[in-house]
Amino acid sequence: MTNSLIPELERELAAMVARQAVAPAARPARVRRSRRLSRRAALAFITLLLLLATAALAATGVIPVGAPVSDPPGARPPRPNEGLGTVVAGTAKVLPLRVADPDGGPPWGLRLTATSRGIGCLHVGRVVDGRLGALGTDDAFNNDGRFHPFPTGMQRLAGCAELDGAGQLFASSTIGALPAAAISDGACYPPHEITGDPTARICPAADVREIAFGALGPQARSITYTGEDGRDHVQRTGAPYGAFLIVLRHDPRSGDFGMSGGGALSLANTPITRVTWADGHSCAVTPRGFAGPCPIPGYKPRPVPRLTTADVRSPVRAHVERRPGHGRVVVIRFRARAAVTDGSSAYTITRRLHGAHTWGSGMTERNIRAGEIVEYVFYGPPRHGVYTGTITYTTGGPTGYLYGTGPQARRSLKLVVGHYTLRVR
Amino acid sequence: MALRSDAELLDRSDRDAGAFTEFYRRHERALVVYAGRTVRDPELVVDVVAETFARAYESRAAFRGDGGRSARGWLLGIARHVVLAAWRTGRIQSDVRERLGMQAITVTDETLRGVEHAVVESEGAVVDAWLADLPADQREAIRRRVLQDGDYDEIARELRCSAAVVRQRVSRGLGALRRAAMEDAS
Repeated sequence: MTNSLIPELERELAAMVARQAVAPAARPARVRRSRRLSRRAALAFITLLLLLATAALAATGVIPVGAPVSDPPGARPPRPNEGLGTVVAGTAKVLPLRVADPDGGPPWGLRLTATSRGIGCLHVGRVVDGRLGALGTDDAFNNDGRFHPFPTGMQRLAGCAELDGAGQLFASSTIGALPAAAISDGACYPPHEITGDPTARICPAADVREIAFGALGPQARSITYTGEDGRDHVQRTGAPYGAFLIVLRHDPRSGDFGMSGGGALSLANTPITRVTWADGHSCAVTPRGFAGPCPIPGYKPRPVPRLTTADVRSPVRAHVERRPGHGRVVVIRFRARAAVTDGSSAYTITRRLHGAHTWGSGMTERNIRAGEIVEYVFYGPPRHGVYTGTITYTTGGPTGYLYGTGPQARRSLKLVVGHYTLRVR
Repeated sequence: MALRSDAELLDRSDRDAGAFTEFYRRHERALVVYAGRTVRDPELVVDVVAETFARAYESRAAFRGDGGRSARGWLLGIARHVVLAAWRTGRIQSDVRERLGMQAITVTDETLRGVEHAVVESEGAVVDAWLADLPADQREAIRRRVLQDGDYDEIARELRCSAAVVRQRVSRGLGALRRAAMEDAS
């Protein structure tokens, strides 16, 4: 038998198993198949009752409203000059596009917001009385059967991208497996998601949805996509944003559970097979995205700042210090001569240990004043050896892990600010 | 001694610590490689692998090894969930480890280097397979420029040609890879 890669973990697992052997109460009871099936059947029945009740209430226009969705414990509130930024007042719009759920009930819809950092986001959810939100079903909100509105500032379950030069959003995203409640927090898990947690609650397969949504701009006219029946379906995109929304029952064979797209307009991993524009031309789409070059009518690239390396060059300092609660950390400092005024620019910082094959990197995801001293911290105890790294000013390429750059990335500008070397003893 | 199946090892784990250790060693490298490709940092890799095996132990009754089926896919599914949950919450969950009373472990630099090396070794194999169909000159140009982030002038000196030739080889090689990827997709 070969030596293990992580002997410390192997020893602790062996010690844990030995402790469990003398504590029989810790052993999980074998679940008899019939008991598991009946629990699933009961869950499916309760869910169906709730959905029918919700549909009936919706049909009469009466669906009780619960508390707005709140952020998970410990979540940091959004700030206007960081990350995605905060929603600009007056920009939140629930779009007129409505798509029926396969099991009825409130339709699905989209809400568009613009943020203080020049980013546009599309949120997906169920619509009641013109508001976007989630339902108290599929174990969400303790199955209270109520509608829970999404607050305007909510940043989860959104596809975001840098707005173009005319303030328009071009973006697309997919959610591989989402409970029909339109929220995953506190809800049951899709049946093929292996959690390894015997206490996890599993959704009935028919209660999980596959979502694709986005905005193709004002000159988009329709999308063609493959429906659950295997046939082509045409959806007119919603003016003036060219919005589209596809809601299908989740296909467990797809193995896709996550959210993808990052907002950048690629249409990969969607059931879309064609996009048609107002001028009559169309582009084919494959599971990997556009089949070939596809100029997106109406997209206005943002101007690239006229900067050179001489405009951003600055000395870079690095040192190790001890910080309360974090132990030893690596701190990188430099003067940012070029300002960062929104999500279209950022400074990236790399860190590489001499002799190691992998490296770390980070990005300043906030606004920075010209001339500001920037401090970037690599958390996690540094290893002994020599670290080197580079600071780069970037604009026009991906500058945020939460959002994309639109269909035709304008010429990306990357200017080296400086390098550093740090010996850690 | 005949090789014991994963189902047998898991079944014996509650009375034979050696059985779970054998199960762990059988699948450890695959989990390290999977976690390494998704979370990159070796310390986080250890965290993901630890929580995954803790969950596997606690839910071992749920694994159906009918017909001698390997637990590899089941374990990778658990690991995938641990990683996805970490993206959502910003931390690697340790709920099951806490329930099982597992102690926090401290790993040595040597262990972290071993983890890192295992991930890179596997990535090297994937990249080699990906580049194998290219002509040797394009393959070398892409390896030095794209994978090792080399400077065009420096590569030109090493390959004894002009920087323009290097750019051309990189461009042609990437074009060939792109076409091959699109053919695979169609």
